Amino acid sequence: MKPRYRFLMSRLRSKPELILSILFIIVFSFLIIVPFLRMIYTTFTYQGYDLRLKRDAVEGAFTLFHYMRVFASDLTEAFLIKPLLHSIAVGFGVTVLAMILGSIFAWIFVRTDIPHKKFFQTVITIPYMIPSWVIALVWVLFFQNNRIGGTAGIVQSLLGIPIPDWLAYGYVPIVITLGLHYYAYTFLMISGALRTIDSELEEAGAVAGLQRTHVLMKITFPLVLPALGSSFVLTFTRSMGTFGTPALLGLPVRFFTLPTQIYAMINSRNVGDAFVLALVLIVLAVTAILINNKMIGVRKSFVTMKGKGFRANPMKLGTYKPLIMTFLSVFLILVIVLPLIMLILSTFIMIPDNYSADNMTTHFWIGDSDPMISSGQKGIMKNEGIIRAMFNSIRLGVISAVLNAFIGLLIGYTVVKNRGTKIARTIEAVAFAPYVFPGIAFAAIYLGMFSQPFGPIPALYGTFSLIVLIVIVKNLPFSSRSGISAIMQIDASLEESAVTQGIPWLKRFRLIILPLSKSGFFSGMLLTFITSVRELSLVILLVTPKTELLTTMIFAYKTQEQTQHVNGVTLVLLFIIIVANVLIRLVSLKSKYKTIDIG
Amino acid sequence: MNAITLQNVTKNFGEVTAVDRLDLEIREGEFLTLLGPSGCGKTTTLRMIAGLEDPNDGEISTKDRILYSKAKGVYIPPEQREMGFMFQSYALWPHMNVSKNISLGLETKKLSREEVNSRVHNVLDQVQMKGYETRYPSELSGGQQQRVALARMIASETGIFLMDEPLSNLDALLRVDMRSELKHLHQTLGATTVYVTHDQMEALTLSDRIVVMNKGRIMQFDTPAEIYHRPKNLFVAKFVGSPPINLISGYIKKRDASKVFLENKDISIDVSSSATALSLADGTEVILAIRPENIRIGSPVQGKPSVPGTVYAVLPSGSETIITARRGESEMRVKVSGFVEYVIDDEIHLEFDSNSILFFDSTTEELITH
Ligand SMILES: Nc1ncnc2c1ncn2[C@@H]1O[C@H](COP(=O)(O)OP(=O)(O)OP(=O)(O)O)[C@@H](O)[C@H]1O
Ligand SMILES: [Mg+2]
Repeated sequence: MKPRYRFLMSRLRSKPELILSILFIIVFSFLIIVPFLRMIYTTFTYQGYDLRLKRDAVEGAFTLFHYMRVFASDLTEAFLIKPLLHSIAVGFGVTVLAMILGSIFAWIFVRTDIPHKKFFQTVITIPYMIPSWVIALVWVLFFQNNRIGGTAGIVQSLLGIPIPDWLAYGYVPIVITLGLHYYAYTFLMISGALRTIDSELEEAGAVAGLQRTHVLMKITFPLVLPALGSSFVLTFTRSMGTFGTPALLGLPVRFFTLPTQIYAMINSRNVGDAFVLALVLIVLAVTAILINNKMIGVRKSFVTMKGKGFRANPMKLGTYKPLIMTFLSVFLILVIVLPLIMLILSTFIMIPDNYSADNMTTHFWIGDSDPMISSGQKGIMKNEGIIRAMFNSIRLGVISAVLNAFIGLLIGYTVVKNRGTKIARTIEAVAFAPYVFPGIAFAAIYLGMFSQPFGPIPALYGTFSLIVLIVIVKNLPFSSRSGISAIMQIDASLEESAVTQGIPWLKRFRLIILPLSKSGFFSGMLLTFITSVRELSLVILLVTPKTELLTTMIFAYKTQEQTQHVNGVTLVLLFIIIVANVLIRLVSLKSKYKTIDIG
Repeated sequence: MNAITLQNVTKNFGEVTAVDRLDLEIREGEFLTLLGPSGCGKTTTLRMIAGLEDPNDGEISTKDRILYSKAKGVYIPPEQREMGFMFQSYALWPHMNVSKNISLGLETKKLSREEVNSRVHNVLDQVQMKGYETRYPSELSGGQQQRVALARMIASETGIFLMDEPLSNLDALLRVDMRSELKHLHQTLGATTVYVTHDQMEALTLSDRIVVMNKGRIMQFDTPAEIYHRPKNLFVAKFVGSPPINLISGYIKKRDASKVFLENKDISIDVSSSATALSLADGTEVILAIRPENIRIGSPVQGKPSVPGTVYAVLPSGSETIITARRGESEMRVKVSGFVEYVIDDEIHLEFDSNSILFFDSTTEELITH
């Protein structure tokens, strides 16, 4: 027994990947598995909220009450069926729109000789970087009508066209605005796939006598089909589970999707039913991911967004060039330039629907408190609340970026070093799990879990640490994936040669692994920063006046109908995101180490 | 004195048994080569010695301590095993220049700054890479990278060098150069060296002793001369030697006590002059083996082993010429020195050197000794 124990201990000590495995399993149990189990547990027990509805209920006792209510009661229609159908309809509409736009752009940029490719490509992916609901805010700015949301939007007040309700709020605008966000995502995936197709395959078809449309249908299409299928499934799940846009454009007309229904229930403290719906959403997402994995094979399940460049012969656009250039330009002006200008303009206007010159003001940027305007809110530059929120958002972004990058790299190290074992597969899978958790429900669980001290963790209720913690956990799927691919790119012998030189683990990690994964590390960090500062559904339940973030601030102003502040703070957020974006580009431009070429 | 001892070492990767109950005693200061076809477990054996891989069973020890023994509960981590390891890919750190690549390991050893610098200086001198201190690996040729990897291993002065196919990424000419450098280096440093290769020529030229492996097991462990001249079994005979050894299957036909023939449906060879053949029973199924250089092209001589054949191909390579001859289904290669010309389809006579003929048992494939 004794030698055996000594043997195990000395082996464990010299195997950092095993120590890390144990560490991750413990931490993930606390932060991912236990919350998920709590969520399930909650759905099977009476909650405080239920006592009002059922006199004989005992809080905490086992019950199928929530399942009965959600799946088989008079409320099923309102609680489940309608939101579910709405979610599916939104997901479907958004995906179709995004796929059409994404495919067209992908084809234009990968396969034709369109000029200024780089520029257009950069601009066209901008919507993907900004929060999806910013486009919804712009929609409101343009198409709001004075029947539901107070003042009239630009179209009605400037052009005098009355806007019907279905165009102002609800399904149609939700699909359009989300489609204008997600097309960038499908574009990136499809163009990645298109780029990997050797145009020689198509030329072979042409040589064999196939017509151009035939080549497209018989050769190109089947080759990109897996990528198309996968972007369909991923866009569908993501748009179905999104919160911000349906909240902005759906709630005013009581158009609920699953995420907004969950939000409404949690707000009314009905967590039991809310978590049942969250489970429905999780089941849908997991199903979609499984379908996706089946479709493109497990190994490629995380669609890579870059492909090896083959000798692709661009198609000559010839006489169609002006037409396509016009289409691109009009699209960019309508979707990016004009909205941005109007967003900026709207913050300089005193009375929202009046666009005359004497209505212009800088009050909302630099004005002092005036009880007559915006309930006495100070201008954005002077507003302590906004400045604090900005500071908090940046702090959240920086902390989560740094920690996520490190944790992701450590997860990558652990998974790659233990490759092929159950431990590695478990860690990888659990780190990916937060991907399918609906943000609001996840936050509600954390709120309950950390309101008292939990294990070694003190009570975090209302603290900034809780926000940081949940954002880091929610970012794990992305950061673990990029950590794994970063470590995979480092040949195992590079660390092993340090091992045989007697260099201890910490030094190896610091001097070899870290520097060699540097480029992926930094771009991963900046992407995480952007994801974190635009996070909304995850943090909206957790913020307090002291820990307010830019995103939650925007939503708070929105509920108070302070349009100029809404749009102004949104611009501040966009500015931060754009700066981060520019940094990403600078970092990825910087030359990487040339790898040694052997043989 | 054994520098490294492996006892009953087994390593499984899932279903695959990479190394199977291996026993090995490596003497202090010797140049030992692990030779075998791809996938036979050479790399795995080397990595287990270094501690980069843990055996499932068995014991590994050096002359003064046990490195690995599950039964005795001893485990020395690879960082503390004090062995130099040279990887097939060289594993130079691409973000560090040549001198940093060499000094990094030394700095961990708590040596003084001067000591580190002088060692870096010395080893670079030894591998003729002075003046390249500030270059990065990507700025070096394959051969130079190889020298730096070698220097890095030498610098730690461990007394045991483990090398995994260090020459396999070099072109043919450079490989021959580096062979003599490695041999010279081994003689000057006297370090115990375990060298992995699947190139039998490399093994023969470099080694004091060779371990021929197949499917995780040792087929023969001997000096190069023994391995070449007296392969213990058919596998070793076939694996070592280029062009490969000639094999003729047949059975023993005894005419009388001093007249023995090896026969099959195409051939009848008088092998009476081989003592081994004389000791075999009539009808024994055997495989006759003879190296190409031990065959002469001449005319039949009574009582000597020889066989007629038809010239099938002639392959001159400068210093020597390989002639392939056929007789029925049997094919034989002959190596003669210099440029020699034969006409395809000509009838020739192949004369075997009696002392060089080996017999293997057809069923056990073991060498038959008398
Ligand atoms: N990490 C591993 N996981 C699974 N199987 C492995 C692993 N390493 C080696 N093997 C298997 O073990 C066997 C021996 O491999 P090893 O690398 O030792 O062969 P080798 O003799 O060095 O071959 P080569 O000359 O091709 O380098 C092979 O069948 C190989 O597929
Ligand atoms: Mg090998």
